[in-house]
Amino acid sequence: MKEILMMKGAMKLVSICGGVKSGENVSIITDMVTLNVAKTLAKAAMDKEAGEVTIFIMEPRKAHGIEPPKPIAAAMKNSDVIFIPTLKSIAHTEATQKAKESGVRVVTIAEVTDDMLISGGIEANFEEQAVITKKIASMLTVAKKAELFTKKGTKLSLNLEGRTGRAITGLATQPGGYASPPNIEASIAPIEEDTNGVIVIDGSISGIGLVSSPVKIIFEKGRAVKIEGGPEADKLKSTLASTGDPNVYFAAEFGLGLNPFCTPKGLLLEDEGTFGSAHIALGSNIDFGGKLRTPLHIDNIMCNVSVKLDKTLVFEEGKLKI
Amino acid sequence: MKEMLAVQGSRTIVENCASIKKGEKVFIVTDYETFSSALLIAKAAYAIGADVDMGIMKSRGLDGEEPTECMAAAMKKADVVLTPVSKSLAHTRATDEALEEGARVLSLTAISEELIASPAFEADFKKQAPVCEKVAQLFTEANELTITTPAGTNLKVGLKGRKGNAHKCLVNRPGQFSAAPNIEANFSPVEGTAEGIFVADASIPYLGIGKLSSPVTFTIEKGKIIKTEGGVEAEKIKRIWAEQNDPNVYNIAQVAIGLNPEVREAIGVLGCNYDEGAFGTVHIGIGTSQGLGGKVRATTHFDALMNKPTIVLDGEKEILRDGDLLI
Repeated sequence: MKEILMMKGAMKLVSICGGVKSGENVSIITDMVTLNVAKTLAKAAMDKEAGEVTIFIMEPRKAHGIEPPKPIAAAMKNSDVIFIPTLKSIAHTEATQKAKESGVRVVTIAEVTDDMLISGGIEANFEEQAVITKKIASMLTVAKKAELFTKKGTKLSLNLEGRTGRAITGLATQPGGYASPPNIEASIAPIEEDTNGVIVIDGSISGIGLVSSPVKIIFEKGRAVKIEGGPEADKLKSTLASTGDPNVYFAAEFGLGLNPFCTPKGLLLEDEGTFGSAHIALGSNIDFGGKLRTPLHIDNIMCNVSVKLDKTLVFEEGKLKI
Repeated sequence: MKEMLAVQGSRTIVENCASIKKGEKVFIVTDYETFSSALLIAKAAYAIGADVDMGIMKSRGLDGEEPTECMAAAMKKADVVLTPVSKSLAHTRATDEALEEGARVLSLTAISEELIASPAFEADFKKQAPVCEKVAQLFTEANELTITTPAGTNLKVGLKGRKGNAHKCLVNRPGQFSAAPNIEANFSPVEGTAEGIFVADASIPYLGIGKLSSPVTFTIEKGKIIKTEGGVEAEKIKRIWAEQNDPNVYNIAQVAIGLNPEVREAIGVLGCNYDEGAFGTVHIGIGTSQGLGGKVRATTHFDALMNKPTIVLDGEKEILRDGDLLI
């Protein structure tokens, strides 16, 4: 009976986030673990009188960022809108990129659970929140320098000069549009060699989960040179080392969570979107204006941040100041 | 719990009929009505180590209607395509294109747990293959064929230059097509050559018809049906044709002999691939003939079956007499 509770969230994802209109062809890409969410989205799409509603099921990918199987990649290019409720994210794959280039609107929901359609970030007013998200994204574009602080000891400076901020609003209503609800964030790829200072992660680390004790990362000339903390720090270190790629240590992304209904739960999209949080990602940033292509992209989330863009205080201890 | 009974049949489909091997890329096309049966087949394929992906769509309105565009795109990228669906995708462009790309396609129309559990899947498909190939070979060599039945069929068709197809319920080479659990040898008559009358008195396992309450009599001139008479079934067929607004739906597309030794009667309740394989029955395919060696593409394709047929090749060689195979 949980499906009934999920239906409201599914309707919002379909009609608001995906902007599905009557007669549009909708595909839902899912895996064998998240089929229940896919079925609920399919019902919502049928309720919106979508044209064809086709569900594709694959084996769950082993990690975030692994390409979907070829039949599914081919199918993704041949719809008006695709929803991707999966265990592991296929957001940053060639298949998704090609679908967007074909004008398909893409809504990805990685690490999705039944509960994510019932409460949490899904309760946000995405359209209303898009206004502030776009504003902060343009502030990131204009700013030359960003400074990030937390009471737990984060003190980081980043160079943003010449880089473009992006607004991930949770809405994919234009052809080629991309959303990953319930996440709402404004983010940017900083100049790779110029991030310095320390971050103290008190939220979560994507792929690892909530941190049981804070994880400290020291950055010098853009790279993480020291990682300290409890079991999550060890796991992060071994994950990074396992790639054998020195570029995974670069600070690749500076993001600000802007969904007032998200809280850190150890679920990627809820955590990143948490209002007043920031994330510094390690790894790839090539698909949003950076130079790094690596086998992974790990978001490190800290809560209640203070942020200064050039001289403007944007957040103070998690509260918006603009 | 009736899915328990279909476990062995699912394994037969995967291992014997489709020859699926570990590591092969299998794409299963299904619809919202047949998903539970498709899942049984997916489990069997997954169990032997195949890479299994599934696509689910709304069931098509008519047999022979194209699947969704995204489904058609996916079908072209697999080693093996299985189609456990409600309405046949056998005679669609999507299937033809998947075959051209080298996929093996096993059609599983009107799939149900009951069909998978039926004796039809207990046939020794490999043993029956030479019989099927032999009949197809006779079709390839013949120029003219006549069908007569006790119910009044008297139909003559030309097949010079047409290749007989052996649908053995086995697909083990790239680009091969078969339908399961059907075993049949068939050909597509030369366009414009079919003349006479055929009386469907067994079943029409399409269009929601099944078993016939009264025979349907089709009159054919120059390869096309010009008159359809009978009871409620005849009226239904005429209505559906009229809605299509497509002159090609009247095309005589196919002549086939059912050769599954475990199916002795067309019963009209387990779908086309059960009935069409009924040993010693003959069916006439109407509509699309592309994919069978013919040239016609229509909005639909369905088959009508006759009991106790007699078939004579080139005016002299009797290969079927009152439903008994003479070879």
